[in-house]
Amino acid sequence: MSSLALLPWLLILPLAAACLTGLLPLRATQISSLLVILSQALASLLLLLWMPSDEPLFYSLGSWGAPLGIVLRLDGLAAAFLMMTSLIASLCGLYALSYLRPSQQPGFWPLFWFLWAALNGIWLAGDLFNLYVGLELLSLAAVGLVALGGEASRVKAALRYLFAALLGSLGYLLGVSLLYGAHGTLDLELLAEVFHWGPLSALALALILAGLALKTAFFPLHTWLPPAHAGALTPVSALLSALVIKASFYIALRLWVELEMPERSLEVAQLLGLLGAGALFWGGWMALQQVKLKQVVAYSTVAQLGYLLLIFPLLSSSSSEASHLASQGGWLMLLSHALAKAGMFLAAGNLILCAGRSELSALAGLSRYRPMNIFAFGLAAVSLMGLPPSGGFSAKWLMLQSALISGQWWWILVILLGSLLSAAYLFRVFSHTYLETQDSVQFGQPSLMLELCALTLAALSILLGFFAPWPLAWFALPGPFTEALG
Amino acid sequence: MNTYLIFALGGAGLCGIGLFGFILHDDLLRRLIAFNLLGSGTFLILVGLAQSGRGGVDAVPQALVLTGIVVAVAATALTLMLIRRWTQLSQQSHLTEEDE
Amino acid sequence: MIDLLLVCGLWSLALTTLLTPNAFRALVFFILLGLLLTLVWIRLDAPDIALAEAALGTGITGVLLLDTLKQQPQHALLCVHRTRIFWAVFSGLSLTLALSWALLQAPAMPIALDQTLTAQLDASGVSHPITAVLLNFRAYDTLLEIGVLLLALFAGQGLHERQHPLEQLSGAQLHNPFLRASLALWLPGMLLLATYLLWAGAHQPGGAFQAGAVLAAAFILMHLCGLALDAQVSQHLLRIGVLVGFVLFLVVASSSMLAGQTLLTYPSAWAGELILLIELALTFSIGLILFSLFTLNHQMRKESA
Repeated sequence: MSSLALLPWLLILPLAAACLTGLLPLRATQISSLLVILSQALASLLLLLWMPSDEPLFYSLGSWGAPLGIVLRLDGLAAAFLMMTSLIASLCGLYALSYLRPSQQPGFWPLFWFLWAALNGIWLAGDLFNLYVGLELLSLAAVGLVALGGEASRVKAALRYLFAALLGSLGYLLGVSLLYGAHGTLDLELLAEVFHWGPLSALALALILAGLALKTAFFPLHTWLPPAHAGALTPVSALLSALVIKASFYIALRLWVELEMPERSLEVAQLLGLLGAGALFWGGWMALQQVKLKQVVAYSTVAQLGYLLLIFPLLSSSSSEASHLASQGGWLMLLSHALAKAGMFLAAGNLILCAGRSELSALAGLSRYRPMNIFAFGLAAVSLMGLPPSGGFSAKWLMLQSALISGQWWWILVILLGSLLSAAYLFRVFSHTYLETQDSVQFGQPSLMLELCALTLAALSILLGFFAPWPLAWFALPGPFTEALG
Repeated sequence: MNTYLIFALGGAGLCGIGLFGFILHDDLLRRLIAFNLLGSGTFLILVGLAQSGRGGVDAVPQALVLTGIVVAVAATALTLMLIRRWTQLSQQSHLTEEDE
Repeated sequence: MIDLLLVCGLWSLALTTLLTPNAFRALVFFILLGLLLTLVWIRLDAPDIALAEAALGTGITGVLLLDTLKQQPQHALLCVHRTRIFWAVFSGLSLTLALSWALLQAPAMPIALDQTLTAQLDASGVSHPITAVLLNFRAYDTLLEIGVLLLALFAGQGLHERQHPLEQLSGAQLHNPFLRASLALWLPGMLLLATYLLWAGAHQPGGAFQAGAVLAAAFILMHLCGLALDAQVSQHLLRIGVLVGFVLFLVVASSSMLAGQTLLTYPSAWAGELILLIELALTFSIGLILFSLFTLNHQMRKESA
């Protein structure tokens, strides 16, 4: 069995699971979901271990090859993100098994599996239009998950999210139409070869970037995110914040680098960096104002997306070492934010289960009575703040080095101030948990499974700091992205 | 200027009108219609521009548009279900502004 | 000349749709716009899209929109703030201008995909290029797209707790003897049309999506006339029928891997037959999915009543 033979199962199995879970009774749905979760985790682990170190893999669907058929690409980046998805989605799935009421589960599982299939499809996609279908699959699954159960506040958040996502998809599709009209192909490898710069290509990329920015919720297009991510059921919040928004960012950064944009548009890159600074400050400021726990965490996502935007100006540096550091730091940032934010949302869900209410003020006394959940929340917070030895620290360290080498000192300032602000809103949460309460307050006890899932994710986000060389080595494996970076 | 390019430009106009409606309206149903207009404009550009470049029929973008139409119908159907649910719960045809 | 008139017609209908105060009238204009688009697609030498636009983009979408409109509260419209009008006009105009500016400077396309397609068409098992793209060359897109349709259905059903997905089918809606009688005439014709569209897809315009939309229309008519099958039977049928197309597609797609080929590779001797088989199942499922999307809305209204 080789990596190439294993690859299609990462798409077939989630799709098959989506059908099965829509058909089977609840018990069988849960068992089959568990089995497929295990197989997915195993498959992506093997794929990563068997990754050849000398060249990326191409999988030609239907044996037609580009430009007629669709080709999947597996490079180090894709393999690393397949693994990240398996890890986080598995834990969120396990969490959902015990968190969701039996009445909620039949609606949850088919959407969960479509979401996973769409994510795997996007990491692997090598075709512009196929990415569009993948993005739509992802967005509709995410919207469906937000609206699950059909409560008024969730339906409202889902509608807002849906309209933003649809507009974003159409922006992307419009850009793809123009790119096809200018080059005559949809295959990313071929496109990068024959890409020529002109009004059509420039407008196309602007539309694609704007569409993806709306879907990723980059500042100032972020307003749909907090109600959707904070209002959804806890395992859904974790999936959305950790994985779903990363998919559109992944597409944007890949296109940006593979079509050699860093040299072409220095001003746009600086502007994107400026928006990133805006995201960091505005998101952090809003997180400080929130009175509900999950809202704080959701606004923290808005803020943290700012770091990802900072990659764009850092990549535009004239020194290749600086842009290499920027891409390494950026992907590591994405990975550590995914782990930390998933862990933090699950921990926040547990804290709300303990306290019975979602307000920050209800957390008083929890640090004494439910220390395990506070500990998980704290580990995730350390990584989000970027304190050593977490994954967030390693990522910021690389980005700081990149900014130093390329002489863009103002981004150093932004990164440091952003970290201070995140420390402020996260310590504000902790300060509530240390308040004393009357002894009469009763706390709930979440099941061990829920606590373990949150703790595992949060711990992984810290461990990422120790094991950072591994993902960094995967990111550096040869592939279209690393080649374009030079 | 050939037929294909004329309709691609027509599609550009339709996209503009769609975006205009999308920003203008709070009403959810109108917004959905505006989204559909934007979609139709995009499809016209996709086929019109490609065929104008090829100077003849290009089956690939035509097939892509067929896929796109089905995806748009799916998205429209889901939006309508959410709109119905929202109207049923809130008696509103637009999203209320106050944020929790 | 006729092209320019069509474009002007499109634009004015689109603007009227968005600006007319009466919501029902807006929908009527939207459906008219769809019919005009059908003509445009024929002018663009795209009869397949014309069929799909008429059946899906206008037909099914129109039915769904009209059906929702009935439930919307009446309200005053168009009391929008002035800055918002400005931004709307500004963004719409800039998008149009930017697009037109770019479209007029389109370079020559370096990759002749259309010629590759013509050269490889014989190997695809069908002689109609669009069906070849949809079900063979880019079948992966189509597979995911059926997934999107299914997903919309699942997401809609997820709005209601307590029920297993697909366990919803409401009873009769209209008791109109005339409609019932005319259905007896219409139904065989529609089934015939669906079958023809499906069969034709192998070598001329038509195919699973158009046929599926016609089938859905037939189901919706049957449903409105109260000709639904016995509730228990239809639940099971519906549950399996909705999924059968996707599942069969997935099974055929992955069976090639047993022979050591990549996903979605058809054995060349059987390609035509396999594509027809997939299309047959897809037509049936697409018809049922679109129909379920329609009835799901009715179910919701019943709950609220």
